[in-house]
Formats: sequence, C-alpha cells, structure tokens
Amino acid sequence: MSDPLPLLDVSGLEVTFPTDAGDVHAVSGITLAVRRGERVGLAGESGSGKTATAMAISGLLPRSVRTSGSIRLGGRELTGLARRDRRKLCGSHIGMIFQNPQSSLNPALTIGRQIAEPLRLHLGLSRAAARARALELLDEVGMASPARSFEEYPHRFSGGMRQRAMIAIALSCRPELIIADEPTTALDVTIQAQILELLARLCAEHGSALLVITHDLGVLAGLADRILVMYSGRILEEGPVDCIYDRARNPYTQALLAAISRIDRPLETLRPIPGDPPSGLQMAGGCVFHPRCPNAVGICRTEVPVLLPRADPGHRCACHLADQLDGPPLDAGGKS
Amino acid sequence: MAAKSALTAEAERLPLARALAGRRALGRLLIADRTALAGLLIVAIVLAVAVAAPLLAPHDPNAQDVLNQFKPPSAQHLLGTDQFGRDELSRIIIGARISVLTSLAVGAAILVIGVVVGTVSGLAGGLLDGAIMRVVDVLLAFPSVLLALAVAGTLGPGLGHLAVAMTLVWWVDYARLVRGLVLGVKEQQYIESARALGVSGRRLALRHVLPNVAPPIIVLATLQTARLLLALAALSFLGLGVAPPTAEWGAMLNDGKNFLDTAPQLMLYPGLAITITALGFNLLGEGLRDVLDPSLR
Repeated sequence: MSDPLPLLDVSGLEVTFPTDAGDVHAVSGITLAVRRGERVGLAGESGSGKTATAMAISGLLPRSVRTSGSIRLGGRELTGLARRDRRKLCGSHIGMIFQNPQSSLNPALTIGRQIAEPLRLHLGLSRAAARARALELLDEVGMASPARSFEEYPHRFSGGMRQRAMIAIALSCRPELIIADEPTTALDVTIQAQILELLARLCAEHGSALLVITHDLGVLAGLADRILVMYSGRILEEGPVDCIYDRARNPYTQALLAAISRIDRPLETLRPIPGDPPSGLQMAGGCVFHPRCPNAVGICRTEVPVLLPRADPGHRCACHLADQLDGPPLDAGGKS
Repeated sequence: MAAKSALTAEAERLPLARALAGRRALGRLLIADRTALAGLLIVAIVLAVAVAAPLLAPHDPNAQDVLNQFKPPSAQHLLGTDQFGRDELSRIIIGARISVLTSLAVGAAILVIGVVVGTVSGLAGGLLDGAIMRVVDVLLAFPSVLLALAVAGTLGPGLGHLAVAMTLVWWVDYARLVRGLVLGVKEQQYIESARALGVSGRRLALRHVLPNVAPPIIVLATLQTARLLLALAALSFLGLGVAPPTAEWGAMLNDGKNFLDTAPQLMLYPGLAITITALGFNLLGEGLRDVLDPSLR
C-alpha cells in the first residue's frame, strides 16, 4: 500500500467461533487495507469468512466469538476499545448495508424514523432538523416523493426501494467507511445495477470508502477499484479490478470467474466449482483450496502458500503454482 | 396454560408490519368485526357503569331496610332486595366499580412488570435471563389462585392487599410471553441493523423491540383482564378482599350462597354481572386478535 495511512487497516485478523463441535476458524489471519474514498470488493463463496470479516470490523460479532489481530480505522486501534465505544463508531464512522432489505428494516417503524434515528443519536439533531436531513437523503437515494416515503412503513416498499432506504440510513451520518454485505443479492437483476450505481455514486459524493462483500465477482466489475478474493478464512488473491478479471493467477479466482453466468455465452461454459467449501472445523493442511483445486500437486497439501506480489502493481496471489499456470484450468472437474 | 402457548405460537407468525401499519384503520376494523364489536360494546358499557357508579345507583348500596328483605323486582327496586333489604341493582352497579376497576388496575400493574421483566430477560440473556426464568418457573408451578390466596392470607384482609397479592402472582404470564417474543425479535436482521447504527440498551428495547411485540401483548392484556376479574371474584368469594358491607361481585356471591334455595337471584345477579363482563373482555380479546392478525381471517 503506497498510502502511508489507509483509512481502514486490518492486519492479522483472526475470528474464531467456539461451537460444541470445536472451534471454527472463520477468518485465519487476513490483512487488508482500504484507502479513503477507495472502493474495495471482498469476494468469496459462502463460508469463506467474508461476512465474519465485516462483522469483526464493525464490532458486531457476539461476545462469545474470539477475535485477534489489529483493526485500525483512521489510525485508531479498534480491537481494544470497550463495546460501548465501539458502538459509537457504528453508524457514525462505519455505515452498514445488509444483504436482505426485506428484513433489515424494522417493520414496526416508519422509514423516516429509521433514517432520522442515527442523525438524532450520533449528530444530536433536533427532531425537525433530523426530518429535514432525512428528506434530503430520501431524495438523494432517488425516492420519488420523499415526504410520503418518510411516513411509510417498510412493507409498502419494493425490495429496491427498501435497499435505497438502507443506503440512506447507512450514509446519513456521512461515515468514512460503508460496509455493504451482499447489497444486491436479494434484489431483481434489473434493480441490482441501479442500486450498485447509486451506491457507488453516493459514496463518491460523500467521500466514503466502500467495502463491498459479495459472492458474485460480476457485481464488482464496474464497482470496485480493487478486489480481494477470500476462501476459507484466507485471502488467496488480491489486485486491481482489471488485473483480477484479466490476469487472475489463483485457480480459485479463475474458478469463481468461470462461475459467473453470462448472457452472451452458452450455458455449458458456466463451470461450477466441485465440492463444498471446508467447514472451518477440520482444516486440511497446506493450501486451503487444495481439496477442490484441479491443479493441486504435492506441495499444495503440505505448505501454506503466502501472498506474493505479481508483475502488476498491487497484484498479489497465494498459490504455489502461480508461475506455472496460464489462464483458467482446462479441467475444472477434478476429483478431490 | 394452553391458551398462552397458543397465543405465543400465533404471535410468532403475526405479520406485524401489516397489523401495525393498519393502526389507523384499527378502530374501523374492530367495528367491522362482529365479535370485537360485541366485546367492545359490553366493555364500554361496563366501564361506563363502573366509572359513573355513584351517579347511576338509584339507592345507597349499603342502606339496610329490614322490613323489605328478599323483595322480588319492583318499580322501586328493579332487581329486588337482598337479605338486609339493600337494593340489589345499586349493589351490582357499585360493585362494578370495585370488581372491574380493581381488575384493570391489577391488569395494568402486571402488564408493566411483566413487559419490563420479560424484555430485560429476553434481551440480556445469559445468567440474568436464567435467574429470572427460574423464578417465573417456580411461580408458574403453583396454581395461581392458591398462591394468591396464600399471599393475601399472609398480608391480611383488605382489597389493597388482595390486589398486591394478585399482582405478585400474575405478572409471570406476561414475563413468559414477552420474553419469548423478544427472543424471536432480537434475532431479526433489523435489530442487527439497529445495533449496526449504534443503537443499544433502553433505546433499542423501547424503540425497536417493543413495537414489534406489541400486538400479541395487547391481545393478552384484554384476555388477562377477564381472567383477573374471575380470579378477583373467586378470591372475594373465599372471603379475601373487601370487608362487609362493601358491595363487590365476588363478595355478593358469597353472601348470596346462604340463601341459594330460598332466594337464588341473590347469586344469579352478581354471577351474571361477572359472566357478562368476562365475556365482554374475552370477545374483545378474540376480536383484537383477529384484527391484529390478518392471517387468521
């Protein structure tokens, strides 16, 4: 990272969920940085630890979950803070947008009250001032009639409108960082593009950095400046967005790219990744992806690959075979 | 408590949003629903009588007239007189005041205690939740009327003591229900979202959790009032609560039982008053539940 002081600086983050069956390592020592105003995508399958990472950054993990490592926001270390101080940062410095706008809005409260809430809580605005600001925000996120939307209950809104309301809430206190966890997964395809465009534009206007978490690399194409690919609690590859799309070196990234459905290609070219992501309970030794990797060789089973810089600036990949493999693997149907 | 668990089950699939968004239309829906309308009318009449009792009663309810004992209904005494020649109608009307208003007061007290305890227990979880729920379990293990009888007996006679005893015994139903509802709501994504906005503590409980558990609590409150009325009458019948000659429906039943074979109407009138009022509250509760839960319609 050339920036001397990134906005968000996470290093050596580990998240462990204690369960009856043993500890589940959701995140095993990842390092990531987000600069001011930067848009970063964190991609991976379900169970790869991307949501656990987001929750750890925002401090929303349950008390029973163990975290270690360092999370710095604007140079301030967050991991040692008391829960109460952590909570004050939520909403004011970090805005969250969740996957499902259907369930993320309180059904018993009007949209207006929910947008006004953080304004009153964090900025101490009066009822009238909070209302005026909420109306502005509703207008900014493209609500047709802000005054009417203000009085409405969420169930009257379509999924897209609800997600617009969520964006308005997340942006209300002008946080430096917005974390969007699968912001468009629950939406119609036609709405997805609108919401993504809105999110990107408003973050730029407000000067907020954006961390988008998704399983769909396609979502990040026009949205992110930089992409990190996560698998089983580790980052396997990271780099500028075109680098990841055109010159991905990690077999997992390549497999993810091959799994994007595209309207301009026959369905047969869509390639699923065989097998399931590991549970996090029993971790295989070596590279976390080797049981499902079509190219795996001996060293993959024994040694953990480290993130090493590639030719392109900012491009790093954790794969023992990164130098030998060209393009996507020919046979993605390899058995474990 | 079969009714309670059914309520809890229903509450969990209540489409609360629709129910609450229709708040403005609630009055209209209540009137459209025949059950609710009947309940609403009965409750309104009983409440009006209870509040305006001293104005409505044609005679002094405690004025004895030994020459006119056990008189049948007449123009002067519409419901006749009791064993001391007191006007039965006036006693029923004045009795409404004590029976209904005491039930409502106890109902309000247990509502507040139950909702506070249930919400704290549900939101806090862990040791505190465990401790509170064990207390609730213990209280629920006793038949509530017997427990209230024991507490009231310990405190000594008097309506105030009886009300305190009932409050101490009956709040547990609410606590149970509210805790269950809060546990369900607290896992919802929108509560997580509220936390992600930095909302916590009392603000989270009052502004985000409670509005979502309100409809089933409202229904329970109505049904509970009917149960309290019956319990109050039962405990008064057993000799707790008001001291003679104060008119109270349960106490009037008790007085009347000695003359069951000669003047059965002395038990009939207060019995009917209790039954009709309890019926009114039950109908209102049923109606409210239907109106607040559109999935049942």
